[in-house]
Amino acid sequence: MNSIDETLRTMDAAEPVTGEQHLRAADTLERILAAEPEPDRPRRSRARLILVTAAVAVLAGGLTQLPDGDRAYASWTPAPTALTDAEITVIGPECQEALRDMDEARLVLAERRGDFAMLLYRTENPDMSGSCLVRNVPGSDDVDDVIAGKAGGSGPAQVVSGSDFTQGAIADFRGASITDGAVGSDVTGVTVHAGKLTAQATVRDGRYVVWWPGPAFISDDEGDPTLMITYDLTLRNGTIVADAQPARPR
Amino acid sequence: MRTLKPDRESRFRALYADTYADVLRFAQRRVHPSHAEDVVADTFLAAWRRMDVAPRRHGDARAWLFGIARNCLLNTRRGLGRQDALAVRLAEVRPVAGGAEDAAITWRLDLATAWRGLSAAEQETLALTVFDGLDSKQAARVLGITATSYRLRLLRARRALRRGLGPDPAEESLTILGLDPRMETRP
Repeated sequence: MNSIDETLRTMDAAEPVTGEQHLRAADTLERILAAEPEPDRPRRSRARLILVTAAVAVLAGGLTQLPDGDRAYASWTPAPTALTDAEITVIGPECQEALRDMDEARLVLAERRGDFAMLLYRTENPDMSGSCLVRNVPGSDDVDDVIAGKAGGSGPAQVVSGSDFTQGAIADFRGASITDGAVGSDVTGVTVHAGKLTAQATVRDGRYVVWWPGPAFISDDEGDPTLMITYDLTLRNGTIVADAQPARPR
Repeated sequence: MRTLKPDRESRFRALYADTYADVLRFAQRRVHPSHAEDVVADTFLAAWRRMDVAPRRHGDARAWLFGIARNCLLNTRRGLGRQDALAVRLAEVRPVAGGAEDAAITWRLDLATAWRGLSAAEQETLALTVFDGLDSKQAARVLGITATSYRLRLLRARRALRRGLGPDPAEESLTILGLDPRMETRP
């Protein structure tokens, strides 16, 4: 391939910078510097993006590979579909690389909404969730726009039973929000309302995970983030519990 | 705020001086030359506003700027629908009748034809390595993907380019021997 690369380089469309371009570049530089840089607004730093609403401490948090440009989630669907084993085989290594300091975590949930897949990794003690959102067009083995974050507490995970559920970490990935938690054995469905969006969670083996292409928090009058999501639960007997309240940590 | 400006400004001036030519060349490969300087100006304006997150290492800063330039280019095309990749053009190869350079020119014309047969995503993947001189990690940063994904894409793009050049005698030999020429060894 080297001879191909070498030949290609002889066909480079880029030209050396001319004297005129250097002069214009100098003018451009001064024009840019004359523009006051935006104030150091509170950046949504990668660590800050993980907001934990339960009474647990964030042990660690971080996002990886945030693309610089916003990606549209136009293909997002309110209801998820399960990922196949083949899809998990393709996507899993990318997420494990992004969450590489969660070696002990196991994959507990995996879902697809349009061109995006979500994988949730967990350790129960300590109570840690690692969520990983990737773009993967169905049928393709290309995985990109990998964003992942982790949050949790130092102790064991809270155990819930019956029709209870917990509200775990809420992560605000650029343009998308993700949350997960535990559900009691009577809970078969979790629906999240976030503003105008309604999203049905993936629920399995006592855990749920859900994401939607919008915020989970709005700023109140003083600029502090206020949670804007509510939950409906579907119970095994068909009952729907509207505006269900999460179990309080003990 | 003001007290921080001199450091910020001097860092930006140094970055501008070190990378202007590379960013201009990056743009020239992807847009009409008459538009390239505007793209570079947009890129550095965005960089100036985000100097607090600019990588300190030269190679990483260069890749960071390429990523901003790419997003500037993609954003201008969003009106046409989602665009995932930027086509990369080559300099024109002019055939010359007769002469000792015939074979070399034919080879370049074939390569140019094969290049034009690649998808924009394949051209973009190859260009980041071949023309922009980025390593896998830096190229992955430009595209917003992992280094592993980039290496996979690069492998596929190289295969596609070779397919566009016609049967490889070495591959034909492997096929005759009953081996799968698609199997590749890691570089």
